[in-house]
Amino acid sequence: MDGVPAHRVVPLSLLAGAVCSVAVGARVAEAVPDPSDVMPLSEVKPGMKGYGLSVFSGTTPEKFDVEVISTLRNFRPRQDLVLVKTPNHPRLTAARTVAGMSGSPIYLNGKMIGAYAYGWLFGVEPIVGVTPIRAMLDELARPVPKALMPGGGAPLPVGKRTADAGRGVGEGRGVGEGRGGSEADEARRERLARRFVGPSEAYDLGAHAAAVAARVGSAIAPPENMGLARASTPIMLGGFGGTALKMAHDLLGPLGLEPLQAGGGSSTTPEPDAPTKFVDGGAIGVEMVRGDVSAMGIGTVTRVSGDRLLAFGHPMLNGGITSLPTAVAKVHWILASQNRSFKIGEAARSLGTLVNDRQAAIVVDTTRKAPVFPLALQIEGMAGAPHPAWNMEIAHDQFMAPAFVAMAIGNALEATAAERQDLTWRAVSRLKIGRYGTISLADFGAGNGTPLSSDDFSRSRLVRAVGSLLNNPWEEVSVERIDTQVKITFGREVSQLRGAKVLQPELDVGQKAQIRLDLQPYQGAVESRVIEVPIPAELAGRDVEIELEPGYDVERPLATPASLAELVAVLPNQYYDAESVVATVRLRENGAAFRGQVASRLPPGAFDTLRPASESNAPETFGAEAHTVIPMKRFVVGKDTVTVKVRPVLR
Amino acid sequence: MTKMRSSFRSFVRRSAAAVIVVAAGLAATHAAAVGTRTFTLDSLEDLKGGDLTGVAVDSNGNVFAGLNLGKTPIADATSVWSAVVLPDGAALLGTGSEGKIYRVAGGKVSVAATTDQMAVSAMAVAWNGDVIAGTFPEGKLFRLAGGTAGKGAGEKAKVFAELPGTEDVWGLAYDEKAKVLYAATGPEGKLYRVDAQGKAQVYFDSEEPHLVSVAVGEDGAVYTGSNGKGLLYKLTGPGRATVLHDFDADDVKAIVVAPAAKGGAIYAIANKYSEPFASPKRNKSGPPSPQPARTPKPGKGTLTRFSRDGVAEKLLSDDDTHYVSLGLGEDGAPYVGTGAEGRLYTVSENRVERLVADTEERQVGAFVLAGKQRFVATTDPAVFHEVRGVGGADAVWTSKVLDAGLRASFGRLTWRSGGALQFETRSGNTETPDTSWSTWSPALAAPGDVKSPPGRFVQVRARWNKEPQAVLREVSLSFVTDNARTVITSVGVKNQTRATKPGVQASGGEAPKPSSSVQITWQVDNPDQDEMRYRLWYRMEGQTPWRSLLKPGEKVSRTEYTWDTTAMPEGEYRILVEATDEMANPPDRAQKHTLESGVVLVDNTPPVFRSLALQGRRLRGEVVDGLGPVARIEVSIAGSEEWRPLFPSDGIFDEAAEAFDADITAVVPAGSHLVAVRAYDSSGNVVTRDVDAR
Repeated sequence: MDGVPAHRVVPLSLLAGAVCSVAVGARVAEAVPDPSDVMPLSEVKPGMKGYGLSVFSGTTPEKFDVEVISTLRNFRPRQDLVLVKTPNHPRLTAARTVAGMSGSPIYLNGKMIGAYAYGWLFGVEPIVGVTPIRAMLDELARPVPKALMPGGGAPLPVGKRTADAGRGVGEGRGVGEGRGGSEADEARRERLARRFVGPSEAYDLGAHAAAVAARVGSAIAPPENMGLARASTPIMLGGFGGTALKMAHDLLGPLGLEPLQAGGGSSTTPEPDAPTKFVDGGAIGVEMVRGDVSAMGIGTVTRVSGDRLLAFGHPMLNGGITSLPTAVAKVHWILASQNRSFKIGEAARSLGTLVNDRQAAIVVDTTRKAPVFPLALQIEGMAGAPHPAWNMEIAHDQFMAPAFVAMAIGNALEATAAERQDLTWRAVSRLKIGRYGTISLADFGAGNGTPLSSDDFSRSRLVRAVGSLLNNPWEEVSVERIDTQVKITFGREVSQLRGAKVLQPELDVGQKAQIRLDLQPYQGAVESRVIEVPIPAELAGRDVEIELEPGYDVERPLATPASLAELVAVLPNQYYDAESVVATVRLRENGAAFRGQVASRLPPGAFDTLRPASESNAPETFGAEAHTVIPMKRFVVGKDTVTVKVRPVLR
Repeated sequence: MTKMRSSFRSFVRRSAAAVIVVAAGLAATHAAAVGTRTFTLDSLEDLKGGDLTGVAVDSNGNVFAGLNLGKTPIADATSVWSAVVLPDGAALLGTGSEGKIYRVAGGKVSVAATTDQMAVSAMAVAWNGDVIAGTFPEGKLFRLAGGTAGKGAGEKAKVFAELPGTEDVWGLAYDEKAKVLYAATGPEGKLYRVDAQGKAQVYFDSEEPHLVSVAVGEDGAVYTGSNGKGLLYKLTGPGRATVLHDFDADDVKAIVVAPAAKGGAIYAIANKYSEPFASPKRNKSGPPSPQPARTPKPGKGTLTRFSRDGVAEKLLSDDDTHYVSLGLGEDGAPYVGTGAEGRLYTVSENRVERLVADTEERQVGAFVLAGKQRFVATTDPAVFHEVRGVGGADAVWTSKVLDAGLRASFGRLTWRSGGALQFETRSGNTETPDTSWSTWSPALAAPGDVKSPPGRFVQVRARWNKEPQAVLREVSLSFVTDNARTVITSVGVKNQTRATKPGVQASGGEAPKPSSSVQITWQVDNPDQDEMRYRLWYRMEGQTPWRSLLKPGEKVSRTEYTWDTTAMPEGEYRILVEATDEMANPPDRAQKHTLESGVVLVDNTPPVFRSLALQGRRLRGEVVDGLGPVARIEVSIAGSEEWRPLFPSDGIFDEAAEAFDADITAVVPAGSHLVAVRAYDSSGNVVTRDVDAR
């Protein structure tokens, strides 16, 4: 590739320039000539000496010496690697290979040869791998279709959206294959690879993390025992408490990211002296969340080229076309470690967007503003707590957004309401969705002496809603903002359902079943409460089982959403009131749900007509149940079943 | 009657090419000893086969022209729940599963209104010709002024009333005199009375979960049917309900009250459904996916008529399908639409049941068969079938494939019918009509000679294009087949004493019983089913001439004969069988075939003891038979029936003379006894002698 004669490529680029946005990426890449300040790989020889640029402290890059050892051909797929020593620099002598220096430009004879990118675990010498600049320049030249930018301003054309939806989630892998792999198809495939595959209304953060890790993790971090290069990116976590850190580690670690407790910086309200632009060798951060809680992947800028720049020399998440906010970063120190040294730093000023995340480099567009959404958290009930309000901005990403919503809220709660006392919290989140209005989601928890933590939130309805929306199979959606109000009360507002007793085992038709619930509150005597459950008249002459369950465990009968509008409608209503007991009576009928409509009880004739033999896009069927909601004003744990007999009607 | 009904139903199942074989003797009558035979199709069973496009066979075996139906698919709907006809002749169809109301006029389908509900389960023309549509699952009533949603078609219909506590509106009936609308609802089983302003009052609150049908009589009496126990209520005022009938059914699906001028009878269909469907656990592993399409199991339906004084008479019942829709024809006869196979039946006053339409869809969701716009609307898939009339070019009855057994020449086709019909025939030599068959012959307007070429198989069809009201009762077709020679494929002779089991015959075991008759059986291949005559001869092995076995004048027409050999000399014989079709064919065309049997032994004399002596307990003697080998020698104390076998001196029973010498101490204990000795030949003839033992 380095031997490409200039005369071959120039005319092609001139001719193809007008149409190159739709041309095949690889050809466009070849058409970019080497700039004059770049040394082709063919000229790199063992023993050559030069320097690299990286920030060791603060924001200004410093030089460090390098000496070429050799070149590894085809180190990564179609990508060579230059092995260099980094002698003489005192920090590097101590730290050897430093995560976060990834992307530091390396120069020989004043010409850039590539970026510091790979190191070896437990290496005892300061030896690193350099990604050749040629491979990185190819990525820089690669066009990024505007329409594919997630949240990239204008909504996608309707026709395109439906085409996307029609492909379905499960087909993601095969999309576009065999058609020459156009840029658009490739980008869609990469994004689909990171999409949560599962029921659209039942998002699960843990499952999503596992799925993403399975798909992209090994592309970024090869199995450790292979002793191969590892290109992890240190993630600077700011404002994170212990359990949030653990959660970050559990969620991000398998993706090849190394969460590290660090400072949060002030990227949204930068210091006046913070740099306003990126420079070659300067520190760069990729901000997944910023504000009172922050998470930022740190690395080094390799080469600024107009409005765009190359950094890292390796992928961050290998996610292809993405849209994550970036920032000029400030480095505090290089922490040397026997295992793996890393830079510790923070964001200094938010600037630009990571637009392409590839094997050889990440590409940042400094003119683009990445989509983020604000999350405002207000904690009530902690009188005199120093920080009841938390504000942050979260990257609008299919996986990162739900993950960091969970971590951020959980972390804020943990920090503000860390109490060994019993406490009960009720959160109401208002989730504003572009074009679909605002939905309200209720989450709750009743502590038992264990402080609140982020884990409590990873399964919260808010996180599941955010995940469901961002991963929906129908259309692009934009989460515009989240306002969460958490009310905390001290006390364990939980009662254990100890038992239920039917007061009248035989009933006449129309009579309500009276059931005494024995509830064991925390610190108190067993309380009794008599509830009444109406029994449908058609169950006359039968033994009727009444199931008693907490409202948060009973799903409402809902149609599986078949569009984003239906998903938005379903999300707030999936379960009954959490502070209630729901009495369920199984009926002899069936129900059907279709297109957002639920017919809860159908006579057999109507049910028969609703189940076509000639069509498979038909209503879903379920056994009909009669639910009676009994508000309890507290959380109930436990379930029970009682049986009553309804006397037959004598006619 | 019931049995008749069920057989009627079963024959209606269409089979493209049922083959009737002459040999089975179902349709072809044998003219004894004459080559001309006739296919006669006159019973229900006979007329049922073949293809019944556009025709119907009633339970008496009469073939009628059925309804001539158009076909307009309603692409976006799956099911049709309700239908009304507007004054301008357009039909409105209430559909599922997206709750749209379609307007069909002049063969064009358009969306009249949407409701955003699951289905428009009921419709009625009410005040000023406005259409009220009842829906589920939100229990809303919509009003379509003049049958449209408003200025533009296809808009969302205006909500007219929301019934409290109601999820489903299953039936609507408008009382013209009182200007009120009744709504049968679920799941609280209430009947609402709604006024023109949409104000709803509970008129009747049943104990059933759903009231699924409602109708109003001219006298203002309201009839409503329930789901659950299958009750038909009669209401004469708010809350004043009497149970008119308790059906052995799950629901009373529909009710129709005939006009007072036509007797004012109440018709109701009631259904019993098969076991409640067990819903599969919802698949939670992905976004909405195709639901497996399967044909639901149909229930059982009945149609009952109640006279004005409440006397019930069951007019129709069907164990193979439930009924979905009910209506009256122009003549006041009741029609029912089925829940399986998509059929429309009617029944006459004298309870002759008739299938009038057989659609390709699963259910007949709604139909209108009186008035200027007549149609049948079906479910799964949703199709609007306009009734174009009765009969016509599409009304064709085609017989099943008739099999003459051999290539046949066809003669005269005759039929009995009321009204003019046209007949055509075609013939061929394959069991299923294909391109090798002849084309349909020119139509016969009156009984006449068939023009189709000779062939083994033939089909007849009748067209109703002349007189749509014609009724076909009987068809017959004469034919004569080629005379094929009957071939005897095997002759079996069995001396009845012989063990039937082939293989090794043991000398021990049960003693054979001697018999003087020989059973002769033979098998023939008689392709043209001619009546046969057989002749039999015998010949002693080693001699030449065949001698007649039959007495003079004896006729054998069955394929077996018992030969009495009492008077025959002992020896080995062979039998010759001749088959001839001279009984069914003129002498110059008669053909014959003969076949010889294997050897049969005739042995009617028992063996004799040439010597027999008992010394002490030592028994000696010799047995001689005329023909066969001696088969066994046995000894016992006389009268004891405890026979013990003795072996011959050479140890094997293989000669006509066998000597024996045995110690019978084990059989005959000490003391004075009369010892019996008997010997059998291989035909089972036996001789017994006795000796004294001291």
